[in-house]
Amino acid sequence: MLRLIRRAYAVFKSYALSDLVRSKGFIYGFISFSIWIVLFMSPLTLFIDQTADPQTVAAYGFTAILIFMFYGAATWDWAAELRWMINDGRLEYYIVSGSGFLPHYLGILPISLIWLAMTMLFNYVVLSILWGPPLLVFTDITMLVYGFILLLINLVAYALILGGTVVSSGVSGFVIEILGFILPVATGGLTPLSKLPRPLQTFALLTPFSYPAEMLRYSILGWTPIMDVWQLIVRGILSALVFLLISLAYFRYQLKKILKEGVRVTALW
Amino acid sequence: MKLHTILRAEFSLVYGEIFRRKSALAAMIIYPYLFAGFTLFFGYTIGSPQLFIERVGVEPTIFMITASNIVMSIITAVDDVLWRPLHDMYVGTLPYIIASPINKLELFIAIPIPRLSLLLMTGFTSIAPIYTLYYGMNGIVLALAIISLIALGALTMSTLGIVIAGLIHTIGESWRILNIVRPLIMVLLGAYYPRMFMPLSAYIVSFLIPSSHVVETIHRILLGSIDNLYLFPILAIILAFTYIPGSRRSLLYWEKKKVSEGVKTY
Repeated sequence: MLRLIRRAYAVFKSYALSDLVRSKGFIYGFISFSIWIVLFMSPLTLFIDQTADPQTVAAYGFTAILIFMFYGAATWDWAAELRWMINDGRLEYYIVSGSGFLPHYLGILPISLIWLAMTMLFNYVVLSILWGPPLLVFTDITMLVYGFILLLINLVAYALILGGTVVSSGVSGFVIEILGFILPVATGGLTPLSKLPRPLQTFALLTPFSYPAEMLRYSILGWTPIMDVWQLIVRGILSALVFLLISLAYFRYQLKKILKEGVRVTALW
Repeated sequence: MKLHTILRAEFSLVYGEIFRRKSALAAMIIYPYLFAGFTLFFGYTIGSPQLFIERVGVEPTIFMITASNIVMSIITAVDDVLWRPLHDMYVGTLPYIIASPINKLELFIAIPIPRLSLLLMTGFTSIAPIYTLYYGMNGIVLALAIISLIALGALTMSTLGIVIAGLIHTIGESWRILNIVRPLIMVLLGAYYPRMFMPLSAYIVSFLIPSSHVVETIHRILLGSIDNLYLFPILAIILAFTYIPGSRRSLLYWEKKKVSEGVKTY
C-alpha cells in the first residue's frame, strides 16, 4: 500500500512540475479556456430573447460547460493518456514493471480534479463578466454529491471503454474528438432531458450519463428532472454500477488482448 | 527551389497522409456538421430559431454550417503554419529545414494550401447540400460563390498567420500558445458571432484580420445586402499584402533564433 502511494505521489509530482509549473500549463490553459467560453456562448446569445434574464442564461451555460469539462477530462486526461503512454513507451514499461496503471492514474487524478475545480471557478468568473453571475440556487446539496459521485463513476467507466479501445485498436485522435463532442449531447449531458426531442430523450435515458446530469441540474439550477427524484437516484446508481462492471470486464479483455498481440502504435495524432 | 516544387512536395505529403488515414478524411467531412449541429442544438434548446432570424437575418442552419466551414478553412492558414515548426521539432526534421536553402516565406505560404484545398472540397459536402435544400438549384450557385470567398479568406489569412507563427515561435515553443491563438482568431473572425454585434474594441482588432472582411462579405451576401460588396474583399487583399514584410521579418527572427540557440529536442 505504501509503495502504491509512493508511486502515485511520484507520478503526481512529476506531472505537476512538468505540465503545470515548468510549462505554465495552468496559465495557458485558463486563458485558452476563457476564450473558448466566449466562442461557445456568444453565438448562443443570438438565439435568446433580449429580455431574458442574463443570469439564468449564464447559469445554463455554467452547468453545460461544467458537465462538458468533466467529459473532456475523462476523454483526454484518462482515456487518451493511454495513447500518449503507448507513444512514449511508458505503457509497456508499466506492464513489464508489474506496477500496473493504478499508481499512474492515482497520480494524475488529483491534477485532473484540481484543473476541473479551477476551470469551474474561471467558468463562473468569465460568465459573470459577460452576462452577470450565473444564477445557481443549490436546492439539494445531498443530491449534488450523489450526482457528482455517479458522474465520476460513469466517466471512469467511459474512460475504461474508450481507453481499452484505444490500446487495442489504435483509434485516432479525430475519432476520440468527435466522440467527445457527440456523447455529452446525445446522452443528455448538456441540456435538460425535458428539452430534448422525444427519440433523443429515450436514447439518453438508455445511457447511464443522463441520470447524474439531471441530478446536477436539479441540485444546482433547481430545474425539475424528467422523473421522480428517487427514481432518478435508483436508476442512476444501478445503471452506473452495471456500466462500471461492463467497462472493467472490457478493459481487462483488451489488456489481455494486447499482451498477446502487442499494442497498436500510431505515429500521428 | 521554386514555389510550385514546394507545393508539389506539400501536396504529396498531406494527400498521402489523408488517404492513408481514412478517419482523418471522414472527420473533415463530419466536422462542419458537428460544429454547426452543436451550436444549433444548444441554440434551439436555450432559445428559438425565430429570434435568431430576427436578430441576424439569416436562417440559423445556413448561418451555422457556413460559419463552421469558414472557421475550419480559414483557421487552417494559421493552424498549419503554427503547428509545422513544432511538428518538425518533435520529429527531428527542423534542423534540416533551417539548414536547407529553401525560401522560408514561400515554404510557409505553401504549407497550408494542400489542407486548405481539401477543406474547400468539404464545402461541397456541407455548404452545397444545405444550400440546395433551402434554395433549390440556386443554392449550388450560391454555394460556389461562398466557397470561392472562403478560399480567398483563407489565402488572405496566410500572411498574418505567418507573422503570428514567426513571433510565437521566436518567443516560445509551447503548443499551449496555439490553444490561445486558435480560439481567439475564431472569435475575432466573426464567423459564429457577426462583427456587427461585437463591442468596439473587439471590432477594431477584428478589422486588422484580413479574412474578417471576407467573412463580413459572406454574411452580407446571405443577408442579400450587396451594396459596395466588392470593397470588403479588396480591403482583405490590401491588408494581406501589408503583412508580407512583417511575415518575412518574423520568419527571419525565428530562423536567427534557431541558428544562434540551436533546436531544442523533444
